[in-house]
Amino acid sequence: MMDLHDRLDQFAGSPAHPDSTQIDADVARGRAALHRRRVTGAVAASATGVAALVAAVAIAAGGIGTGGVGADAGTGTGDRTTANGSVGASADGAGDGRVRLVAYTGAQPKGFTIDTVPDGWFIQTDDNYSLLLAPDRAKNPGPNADPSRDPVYDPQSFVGKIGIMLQSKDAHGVPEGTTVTVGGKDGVLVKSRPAMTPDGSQPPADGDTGWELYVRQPTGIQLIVQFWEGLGLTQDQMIDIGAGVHVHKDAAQGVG
Amino acid sequence: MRQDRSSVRTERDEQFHDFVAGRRAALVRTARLLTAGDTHLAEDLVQAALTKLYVSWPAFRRADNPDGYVRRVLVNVLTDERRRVWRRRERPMAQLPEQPGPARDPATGPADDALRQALRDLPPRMRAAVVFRYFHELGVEETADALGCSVGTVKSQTARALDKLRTALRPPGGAAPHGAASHSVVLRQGVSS
Repeated sequence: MMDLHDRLDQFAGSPAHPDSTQIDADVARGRAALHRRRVTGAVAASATGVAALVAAVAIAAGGIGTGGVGADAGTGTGDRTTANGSVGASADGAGDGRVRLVAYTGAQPKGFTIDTVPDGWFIQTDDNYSLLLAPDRAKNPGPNADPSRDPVYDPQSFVGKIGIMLQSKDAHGVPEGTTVTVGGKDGVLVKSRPAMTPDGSQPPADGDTGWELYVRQPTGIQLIVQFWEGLGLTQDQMIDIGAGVHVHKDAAQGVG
Repeated sequence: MRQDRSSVRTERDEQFHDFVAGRRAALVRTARLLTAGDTHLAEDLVQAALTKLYVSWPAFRRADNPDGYVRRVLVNVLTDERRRVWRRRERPMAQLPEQPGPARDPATGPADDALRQALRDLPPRMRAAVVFRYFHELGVEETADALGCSVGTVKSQTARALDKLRTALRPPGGAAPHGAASHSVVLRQGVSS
């Protein structure tokens, strides 16, 4: 016979009381997080003020009803908004220094195959559980490269890359996002949550926290294409990449 | 001598320091249960929870129920951590790697692999309901407050959790007859499911 409380009590163990170094570290983390919060708040307030001022000046210069404040103001016709909210190129925006998509012509893996990749990217690694796209610079790390410091060289890391996988057996449902159609299939484009550290969430300065594209497969399992932050892809480009992913019978769900 | 502003300890620092000194070990114990024995994740949870507490220290100090406030922060951090899993940093795999458990860490309790696995198999909020109800021995209302859900949800979650635990922790060869309650998990007197 077992007393659940006693069993939980034993399982929880007896951690040592914190020493002064540990407590000071907790205080320091708290102070740093509070400082960041205050700075972020100040910057946001400042940015709001600047935006309001710019809008006021634009209205004054263009005049109400003249079209001075409209879709074309500032960005120019034809530009599209990138996933991170900044102004980016269209999917075929060759020659403007931004990301361009090209047909993938290399050897195809088994679990997943892919039609379209960002120009200058390659399949860094694959198995039945995932397919990992990385920029070309990951091909030649050089003698001084340290994968633990620069995860682009680490084929186990998704940081800075595009990861393609089936939803984990331990995960269920699709987070809230924008409903899209991906190659004729139902999809949802989800803005990634910022990575969390013990120091508190630290979203990048430009607000891009990365994206995940969920595409429901005929089996009912979700295909996930995960775009790390800072890749500079438009939402249309992400959907184009997702539409070119094909899930084969050898593809398997991971766990965890 | 010029003083570094960052070296000045504020009243908040002093209060927070005392709080951490007195409560950190207990928070770690709770976090170990909430994370099903993952000592590293438990430490992360405690650090993140303490950081949030520091930032919202005035609100914590004004709270009618400071203990309940801390529990809510822990649950929120746990939920954040789980949601972070959506965002993979590492390639998926067929099996989870072995994690250092209590048996390998002298700071924790004795090995109870069956309990660890049983807790891991519970969804995080269901696990939290078990921890608050049967480890901290909170009432249904307090547990509902910690989890930010209804009393009815707590009741249904704990009932389902106990069923799962009974099944998972049933001793070998101790299968209960169909429909009969197993006695391999008993609750403390006065604590009902």
